[in-house]
Amino acid sequence: MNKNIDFEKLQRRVFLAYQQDGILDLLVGINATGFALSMLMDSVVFLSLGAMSAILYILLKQRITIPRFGFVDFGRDRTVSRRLTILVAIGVLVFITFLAGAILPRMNPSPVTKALLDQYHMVIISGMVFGLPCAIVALLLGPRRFYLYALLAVGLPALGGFFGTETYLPMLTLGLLVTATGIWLLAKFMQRYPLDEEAGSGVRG
Amino acid sequence: MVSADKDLQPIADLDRTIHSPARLMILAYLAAVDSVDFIFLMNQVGLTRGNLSSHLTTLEEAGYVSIQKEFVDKVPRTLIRLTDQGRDAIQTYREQMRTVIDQLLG
Repeated sequence: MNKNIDFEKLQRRVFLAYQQDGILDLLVGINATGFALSMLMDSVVFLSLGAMSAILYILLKQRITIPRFGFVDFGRDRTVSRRLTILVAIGVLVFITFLAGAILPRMNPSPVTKALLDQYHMVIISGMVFGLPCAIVALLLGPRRFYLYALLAVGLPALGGFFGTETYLPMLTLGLLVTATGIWLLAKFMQRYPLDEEAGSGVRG
Repeated sequence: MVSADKDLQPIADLDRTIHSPARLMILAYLAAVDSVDFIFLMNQVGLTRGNLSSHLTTLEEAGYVSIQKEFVDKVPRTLIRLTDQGRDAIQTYREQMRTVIDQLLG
């Protein structure tokens, strides 16, 4: 018989429940869609969807999650260290991707390597920009579906490369899939936690 | 009041403010995070508004939780936090329960 209440486990469970609103999925999905559209239209304008999705994330959390699920302060130290780890990890990955993109073409790769890179370069880019960050989110925050997104971020461009489809197509598929999952989760969340008419009231009226 | 058997004295010594499933659940959640609002506790603990309010008042009167009312974007929010006294009480309760279980189950 376990006589102890595992507070760390309880905290992880609460943290995980906080991520079941699908808003983080929307953030990833919109970014991947914006990335695909910028490739399709050959315009960086769509990359600004990334910044917009970050604003959307904050707004949705404030307007939808907190009034329904309630507010939780996990403690500044724990929240900050978690966020910092994620930000630093993603920053390093993006930096490595750009560095690799700048160095690889100058290394005079063999024709076979060059052909492989031409065919499968999106696997590396998508893996670094979306796959690994999704895996980090799954590892640090807990939602296991992000492992699946990480797998899709690598698998879809690999399939695209194998079948020779347009490079934007796997990214668009990934973006739309993740966005659709986010919308579905958000709808489910809103159904599970309806807006409390007396929100905010509590002890002593 | 009937005096308790010496072996069972630890049971009689249990803190009755904590020794209630609902209040214990509330304190467990509060011990796991820094602070929460009323709606969060209501969702997690599964109590009605009135019930939760009553339990929180009991805990506040015992000095185990602090309750603060604030306004965020003109919406009232009831913020609940475990006090140091509450944290100590949970620790003591855990030790007492351990003793009780050890004595009863060997």
